[in-house]
Amino acid sequence: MKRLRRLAPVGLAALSALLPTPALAIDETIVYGINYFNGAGQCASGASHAPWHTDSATAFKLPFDTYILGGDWDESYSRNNSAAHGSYFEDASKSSTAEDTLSNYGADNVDVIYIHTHGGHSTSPAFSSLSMGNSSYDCSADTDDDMLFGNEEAGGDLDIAVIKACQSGDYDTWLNGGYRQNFTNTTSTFTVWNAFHGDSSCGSGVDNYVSDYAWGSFENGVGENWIDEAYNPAFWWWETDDCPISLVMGSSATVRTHMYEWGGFRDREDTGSKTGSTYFRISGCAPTSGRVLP
Amino acid sequence: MTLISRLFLSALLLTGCAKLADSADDEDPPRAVAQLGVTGFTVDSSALATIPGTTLPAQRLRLDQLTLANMSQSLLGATESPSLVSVRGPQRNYRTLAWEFSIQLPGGFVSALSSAPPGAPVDLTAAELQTRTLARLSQFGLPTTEVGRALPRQAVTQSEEGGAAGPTYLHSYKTFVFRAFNGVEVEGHRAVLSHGRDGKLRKVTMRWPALAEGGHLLRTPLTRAQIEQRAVAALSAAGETGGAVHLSWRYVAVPTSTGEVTLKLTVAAHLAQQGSEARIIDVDVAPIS
Repeated sequence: MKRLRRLAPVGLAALSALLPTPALAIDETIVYGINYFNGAGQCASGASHAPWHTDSATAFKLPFDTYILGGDWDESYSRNNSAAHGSYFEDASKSSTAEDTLSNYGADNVDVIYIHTHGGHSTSPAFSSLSMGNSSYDCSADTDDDMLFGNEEAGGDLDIAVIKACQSGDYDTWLNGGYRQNFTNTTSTFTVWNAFHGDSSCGSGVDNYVSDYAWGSFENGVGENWIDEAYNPAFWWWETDDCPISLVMGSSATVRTHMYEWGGFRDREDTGSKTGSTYFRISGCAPTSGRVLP
Repeated sequence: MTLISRLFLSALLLTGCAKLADSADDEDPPRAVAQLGVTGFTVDSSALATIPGTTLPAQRLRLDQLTLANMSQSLLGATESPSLVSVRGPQRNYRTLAWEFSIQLPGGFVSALSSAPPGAPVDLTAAELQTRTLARLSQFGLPTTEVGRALPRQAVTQSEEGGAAGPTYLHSYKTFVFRAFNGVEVEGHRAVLSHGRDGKLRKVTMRWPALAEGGHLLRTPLTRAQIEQRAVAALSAAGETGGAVHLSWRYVAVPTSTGEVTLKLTVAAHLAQQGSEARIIDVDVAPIS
């Protein structure tokens, strides 16, 4: 959590300047875009290849690269297609092949991640899954039996995850405990899971709103901007709604709402113990593969 | 049904469309589409029956209205001059007494949030919300001639503590306004105005650049049959082998050196997929001015 780290004593800061920079002390991003499925060495998925997934990952990364040039962010990485291993989303407490803290690769090694891939969900047992890019590793990164983020005692660092994948934030899965209870512990730094209830459409327009979302969310609105940018109500009879959701974890609804409204990539607020969560959404949103949101 | 034509692809056609779209800094070569097998597409082009108009309204948002002063005063309602907080690439971040906001000029991008303390809750009808939103946008300089859908929605919040979910509460009234000309929406251009439970404007999220004076490509010389063929070719090139396809008009905005944009008529090919996301592919219809 950024604010706590800013309070490091000057003496410690001077000492740390002489040592290799630990991942916990710097601002880092990884984007994962997975275009290819169902081929040799690739993971099976209901859909075939999806050429925009790396495009939107690039769009998300661009403002971070701009911030790096200005000295306002430290590092950003792309881990696309076969470089997007399922093991990067596995925590050591849940999997013997876990690499989620692998430096500059693992999702829990950095502060902010973005992933664009296919996804699915189950309400019982309650979890969402993300299709990964390399069949030599775990092809399905699941919120229940793979993920545990921000567990600093084991080197975890993640604060914010932005998930462009179908069914990655299902309402009923949330009601049944498929997210916070699985991918945080009470002392976790992990705070925001921006995702979709139901399926989310995909096309060349995605990188437009992902780009605007990323540019606009460094200081404020890290949760609410996702709703504003990604909500896509059906226009034609053959379409259904895209229903973005923002799930914020923390000790009270007040601090969670503040993070949703006023938190940002550079302003990663300390929301306290991850004993509860708040699910932000558009009422009445009606997607495919998910109920109409109450 | 005469408006629907079923088009079957030959393996020969697939071989000719085997190159996939480029992908950024990835490690995998594209696969040959022909490996995926051949089925067929059912193409519904009925929504193309209405040909979009070929002129744009004279009254529209101008480049000289996308200024810091107009954004802070007319859009946000700030009464004092904003203070520059930081500059990040194309983006400038400002603060007033009641607002924090980021803008990209002249790209028409605004992300603003009010810090004003909330007042007493009020009930707002959808019609009132829509009226307030369009009035605010009009005050900013955005005429109704370039507004398509204006959809009032309720953003809500629900919490669980220790696994026990509580009731749902209203968080904000949000109105999603989509840019459209001649009944055709412009991809990626929207304004989202959020009003608090007290009815006051509390957040603006907007991408609405000015249109260039000329250079728009608003007509296509292609017939519907030709567009259907192009749609199938585009879907095949994207690795698809079959399914129900629906075609509709869409404008894509092309940036110019001034920051203005020109509009380019395209067709969106919507392919619903069982058990996966719908895919929407832009079909080049060789537009002309």
